[in-house]
Amino acid sequence: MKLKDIATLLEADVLAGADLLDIDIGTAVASDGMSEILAAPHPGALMITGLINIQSIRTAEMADLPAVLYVRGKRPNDRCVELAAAKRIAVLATRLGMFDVCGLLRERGVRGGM
Amino acid sequence: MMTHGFRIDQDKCRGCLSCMRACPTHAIRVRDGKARYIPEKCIDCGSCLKSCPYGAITATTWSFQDMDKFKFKVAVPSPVLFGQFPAGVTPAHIVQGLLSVGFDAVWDYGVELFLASRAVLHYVENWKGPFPLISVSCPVVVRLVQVSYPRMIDQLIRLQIPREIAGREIKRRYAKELGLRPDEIAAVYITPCQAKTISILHPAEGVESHLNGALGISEVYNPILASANQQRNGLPPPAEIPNIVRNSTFLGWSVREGLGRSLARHNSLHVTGLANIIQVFDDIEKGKLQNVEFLEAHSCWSGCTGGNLTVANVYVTLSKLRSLVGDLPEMDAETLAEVNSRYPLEDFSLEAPVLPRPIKGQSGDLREKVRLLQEAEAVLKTLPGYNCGLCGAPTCKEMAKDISAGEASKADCVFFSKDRLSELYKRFLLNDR
Amino acid sequence: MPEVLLQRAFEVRGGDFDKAGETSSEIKALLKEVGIDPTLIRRAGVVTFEAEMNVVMYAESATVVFTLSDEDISIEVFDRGPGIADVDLAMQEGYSTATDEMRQMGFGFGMGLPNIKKNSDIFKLESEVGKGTRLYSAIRLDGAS
Repeated sequence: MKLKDIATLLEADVLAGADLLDIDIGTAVASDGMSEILAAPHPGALMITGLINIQSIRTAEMADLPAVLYVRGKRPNDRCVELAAAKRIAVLATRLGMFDVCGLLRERGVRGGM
Repeated sequence: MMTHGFRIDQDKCRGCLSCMRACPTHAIRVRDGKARYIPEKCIDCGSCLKSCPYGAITATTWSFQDMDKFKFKVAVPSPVLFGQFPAGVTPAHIVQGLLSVGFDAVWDYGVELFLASRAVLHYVENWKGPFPLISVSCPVVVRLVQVSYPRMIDQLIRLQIPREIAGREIKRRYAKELGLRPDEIAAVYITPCQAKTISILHPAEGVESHLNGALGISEVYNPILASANQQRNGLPPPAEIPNIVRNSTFLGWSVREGLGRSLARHNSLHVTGLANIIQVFDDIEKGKLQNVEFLEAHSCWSGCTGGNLTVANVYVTLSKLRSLVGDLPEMDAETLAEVNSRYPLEDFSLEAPVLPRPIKGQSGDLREKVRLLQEAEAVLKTLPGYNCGLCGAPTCKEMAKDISAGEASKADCVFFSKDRLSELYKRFLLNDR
Repeated sequence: MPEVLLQRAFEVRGGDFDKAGETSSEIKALLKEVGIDPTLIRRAGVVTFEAEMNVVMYAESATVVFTLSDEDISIEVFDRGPGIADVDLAMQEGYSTATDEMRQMGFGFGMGLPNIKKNSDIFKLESEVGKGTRLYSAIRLDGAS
C-alpha cells in the first residue's frame, strides 16, 4: 500500500516527507515502547506509535524505517519534524487510535513486521 | 580503459569552476586553470555540458563520416526524435529525411519494446534476490550504481534493452535479406543524449554493443528539417505510413512511464532527476524500499525527452508526441504477431554482467578506507570550510579527500598560499573581459 | 589479535533526553563512510541507541567508545551512576526499574539490555553498585545475521 493511500485512508496529515509518499508499505510495527520496535528491526516498515517525542524519530532512524505515523491525534513538535525531514523519514498524523489504524491497515493487506 | 562521454577543449576552458560545481559526483577538478575529469567518477550525466558558459565541453558522439565504412546503414531513432519538429512535419517526413541524409533504412523498435517488456516481466516475476530490481535503460543510472552503489549491482536487471535487441535483429535480418556480412551493416542509434552514445561505444558490461554508433538528435535535426521542408514544398508526402505509427507504444514511450506500465500488477516506482535518484538509492541501500519490485529511473528530470542532445523544448516535445499517438491502440495485430513469433526464439539476457567500478579510496580493504577517512577528517579540520572552490576542488571536504589521497596539496588553497592567490589574480588579469 | 582501525570516544550526559541518539547517528555515519554492510550498521545503531537511552535514563554521565577493528565493531559504554544491583535480573526481558516518567519517553519496558544482547555477537555487562556500569558489545564484520 502506498504511503499516500495510507494517508488518505486514515485521513492523516503529512507533516514531513511529502516527496516520499510513493513509498510502498508492506509491513508495519506498532508500539508506544521504542525498544519493542527496536527489538525486531524490520527495515522498510511503517512505524505506528502514540509516542511523539524526539526518540520516536531516532528509533525510526536506527531501525531504517521510512515513515512514522502518529495516532490518537497526537502531534510531534517542530524539532521532531525537522529531524525527520533531515533523516528522510516521512511523518504522518491521524486522529484515529492505534487499534483502528492497525485494523484498517491489516484489512488492506499490510502485515506485521515481526 | 576508463572512458566517459566528454571532452574539454583546453583552449576554450577558462577554469571558471562552473562545471566543477555542477557535477553531482564530484568528478571534475580545475587544476592549472583548466577543468579536467576524474574519469572513474564520471557517470556521463551531462550536467557539466549544460553548465559551461564558454562552450568548452563537448560530448563524444559519432559523426556521419563514421558511417561511411559500412555498406548498409540503418537508422534506429529514439522515439524522442519524432516529437522534435514543428507542426506539419509528420513521422513520414522524418523517416524520409533520415533516408535523405544517407541512411538506407529506418528501423522503429516498437516490436523490441514489447519483447523487452515481456522479458522484464518474466525476470521480475522469477527473481529470487533482493528488491527493487532496477531498469538499465538509462546509462547514467547504470553508471551511478557501478560507481556509488556497488552493493546494488545485482539489482540491475540483466536484460538487453530494446535498442540493443533492435541492433541485433537489424544485423540478422539485413544480412540474410541482402547477402551481406553483419559487419558490413551499421545500426546507428539517433540519440537524445550523449550518455547513450557512450553506452553504445563503451557498454557498462564491457562487451560489444549490437549498435555501431550513435548520432545526436541535434546533429540530424537540421538536415531532416530541410528535407521535410523540401518534401512539403511541392512533393507529395510519402504514401507509405511508417511502421512507427502502427500503435501508440513506440511514440508514446517517452510520454508514459516506460517499462513501469507493463508491470502494472507489480509495485513499481518511476524516479527522475539525478538528485532524487541518489536519495532513493540511499533509501534502497538501507533496505527501506524492499516492497518496490521494479524501479525505473531516468537521470533527466523529464525523462529522455529532456536529453542534452535534443533540440526542442521538453513540453512541446511531449505535447507533440501525445498528439501523434492520438487514439491509437497500444498494440496492433501485426506487431503482436511479430512479438509472439520472436519472443520464444530470442535470448534477451545480457551477454556479461555489469560490474562495480572501483574508485580510489572507496574500494580496497577496510584498512585503507579507514586510513583515508581519518586523514581526510584531519585535513578537513585545517581547511577554512568556505567551499570557495578556488583550490580546484568543489568543496573543502572533497579537497581534504584529494589531499589525503596525495592528489592535491594544501598549497592549492588560497588561504595557505599567497602564490596560489597571485596565480589566480594573474589569470584574472589575462582573461580579456 | 584484531587490529584497531578506528576509535572514537563520545560523552553522553544523564538526563539529556533531547540529545540521546546523536552518538548513534554519528557512529552510523562513520560506518557508512567506510562501506560497512547496512545490516551491520543497523545492528550497531540499535546497540548504541539503546545504550545511550540507558545512560540518559539511569546514569549521571558516560563515555561511549566506538572501535572499528579489522574483525569487528565494538561499542563500550562506561557510565558513572548507581550501577545495577542484580545484573542477571536486569537482563531478563520485561524487568525494569524505570519510572513512569521514563516510560512516557517510550523507554523503560525492560527490553533495552536484551535488545543490545540480541544484536551483539559478544556481550558483557559488569556493574558496581554506587559506582557505575560497563557494557561491552561487539558485532563481527564477517557475521551477517
